[in-house]
Amino acid sequence: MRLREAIRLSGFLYRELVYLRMVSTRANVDMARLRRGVRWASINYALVSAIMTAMLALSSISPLLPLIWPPQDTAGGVELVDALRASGLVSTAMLFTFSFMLCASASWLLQEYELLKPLMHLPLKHGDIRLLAFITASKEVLPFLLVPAIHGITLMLVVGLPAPALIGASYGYASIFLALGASFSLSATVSRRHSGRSLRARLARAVSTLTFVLCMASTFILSQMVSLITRLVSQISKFIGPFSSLLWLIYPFSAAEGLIMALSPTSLIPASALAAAYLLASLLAFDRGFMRFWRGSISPIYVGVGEAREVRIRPPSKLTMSPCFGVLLKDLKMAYRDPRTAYMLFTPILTFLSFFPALIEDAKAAIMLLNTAFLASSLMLTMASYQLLVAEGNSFWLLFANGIRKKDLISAKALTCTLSYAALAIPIGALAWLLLGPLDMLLNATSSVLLSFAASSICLAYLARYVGPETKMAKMGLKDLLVILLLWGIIVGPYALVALIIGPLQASLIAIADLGIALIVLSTLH
Amino acid sequence: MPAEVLARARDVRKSYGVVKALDGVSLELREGEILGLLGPNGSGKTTLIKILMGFIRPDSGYVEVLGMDPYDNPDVRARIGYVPEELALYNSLTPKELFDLVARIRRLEPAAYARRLDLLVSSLGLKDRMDDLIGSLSRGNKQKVAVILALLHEPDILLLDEPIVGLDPAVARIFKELLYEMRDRGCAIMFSTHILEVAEAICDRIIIMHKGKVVAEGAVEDILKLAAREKTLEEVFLEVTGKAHEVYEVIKALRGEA
Repeated sequence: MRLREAIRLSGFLYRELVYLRMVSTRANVDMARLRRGVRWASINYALVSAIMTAMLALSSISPLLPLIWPPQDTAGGVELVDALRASGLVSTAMLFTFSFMLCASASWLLQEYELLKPLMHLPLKHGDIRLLAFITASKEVLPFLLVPAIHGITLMLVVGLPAPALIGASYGYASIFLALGASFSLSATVSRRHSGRSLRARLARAVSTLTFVLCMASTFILSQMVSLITRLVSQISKFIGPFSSLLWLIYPFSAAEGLIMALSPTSLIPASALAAAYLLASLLAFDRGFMRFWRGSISPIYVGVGEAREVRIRPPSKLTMSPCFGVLLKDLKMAYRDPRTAYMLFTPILTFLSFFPALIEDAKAAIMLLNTAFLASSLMLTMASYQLLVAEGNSFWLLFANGIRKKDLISAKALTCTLSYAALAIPIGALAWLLLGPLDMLLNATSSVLLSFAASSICLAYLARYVGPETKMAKMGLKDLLVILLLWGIIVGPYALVALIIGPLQASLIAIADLGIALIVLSTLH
Repeated sequence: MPAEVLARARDVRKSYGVVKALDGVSLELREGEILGLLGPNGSGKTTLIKILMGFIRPDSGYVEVLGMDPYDNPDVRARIGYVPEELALYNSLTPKELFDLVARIRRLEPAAYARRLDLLVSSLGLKDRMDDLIGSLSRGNKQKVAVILALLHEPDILLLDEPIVGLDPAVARIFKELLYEMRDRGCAIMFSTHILEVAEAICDRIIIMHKGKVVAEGAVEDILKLAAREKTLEEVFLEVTGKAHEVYEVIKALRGEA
């Protein structure tokens, strides 16, 4: 297949990707808007690509610009070494991050919706389909290939030497290929679902779930890394003493240090060799990652692990035979096995993680921060309970055909959120009580669990009118979102006020009252 | 003594915009009978089954299932088994976990449920797939899961929308036996199908629908007598749905006889 033909054919797959992104990220999709969005996909792509490429190129060269056009009104000039270091780091970090984000999203959708499978029935060679898959998944990243070239040319203009330009461009391309390889590999890992009870199957499921949660948390983790890294580097430097100079070997610092080393003839050869080695390694990583992605794309998403074997049917325990317990158990299992369906359940963990560095830095602020996290979690869990409704997808018929009552359905969803949150909040509250002193923290943690249940149940009771056996997907509009935020405010507001003005013990009474109101609301549902 | 009528629809109408899905449909489903619902695509079979399930409210007409209006009394579903045309099951659960979920929603007695499940999964050949994720099952095995879900609680009424799709001949034969067993115990069974041989072989009575209307109704032999020339149900089906001429013209064209 010619490249031109492949690019034309990949346009169809890309339109499908645009369609899937639109329907999966918006609660209420207007059909006319959807049609327009898909029809204008290629024009949007061209515009967005041009803007993003320009933005990345500008970010990469912006530290160098004062050296080309020195500012008139500033007293001190810009040091060449500082400018090179900043430019190298910004270029590699931004190219890696943006390439990873865009390619991960596209490749994951390609696998999740098995978009390549229909092509397998057409008279196309595997090599052709592989090319189509690559172009479609990396279509949004391919224009970024211009950025390292622009960066290299600018470096050439600033330094007047070819070596820093080549090293800079080389690290740019290495970042792009590394990001592509990582995103392809990642989507191959998280898209597969493993069947069976064997240890191997359990481990495979655990790895998939953990990878997804870590990816979701990557923004939080990266932001924490940035704030911790300077302290970490200084601590390591102190610890390893003379060996701290070896930092130039480690990517992405090597990109910055390599540019500086290329200025001196003595250090030019090791810097160039290292740049070439990283480029080669990134190409290998890309090749490995893409081949994993490709193999995953043409094989079933659900993977059977181990031989089929007969199962002895045991009756479930009498104590568990209630609709609410049934749905609760189902939701917990599904959320763990397929965290895409309920990723909001994990957000409280991320909230506490994001406060972690601040807790270490300032123990006095810890109490305030933890209380904020407890309150924020109740809002997140309200949204998580809505997400659990959405996760039913088009399977509502199954629950209603078997006679579930909305009361049981809503209670189960609210309980799923509350119990998974309680497993996190109560230990944190207890730990804070032990470490920071006052019992208030444990009290606040318990109150936030009660508030989460109350807010989730009341908000879901409001949304329950949209749900029935014919519901294909639980959706809420902007008005519903505002109502839910208002309801959350009404439930949590008095608690927060009392906690601030009077104290946590009195506030916990408000949380108990909220719980009572929630139970009354639930009892009115049928 | 005539068999008791367990479900009844009288002059039921339902429209989706300008499309009339049901246009004055009346029928009765009696205790201990298997009623076949035949009709071309879009004839209103699925809409009729969903109305009997109480999933959708008809625009007009009267519907009664086990003495109640199913839309206003969803509790009646406790005594109905249902297999939908489009299967949407939970792909991340195993069949066993899904059966347990339904047993909990229906509050079945655990020991009786386990015995019944064992019989059904053994009969339909699903026992070695009970620990697989539903997403990894074949279309036929997913259909078995849906059929077992409908039979698990020994319902009084079974409403089955294309239940044989995806089942291999051996399993379809066993499924038919299970239906006979249910019928003999007094269960009223309505099932829609496109496979006319199956309808002819197992149904006590047949209703043929076309464009939202009942165009033929009666015992299989009565239906076959509708037109003296016709010998098979397929020919009667094509005749009463007005498709015969159209279909024969296409066949002639395909054979190059046009």
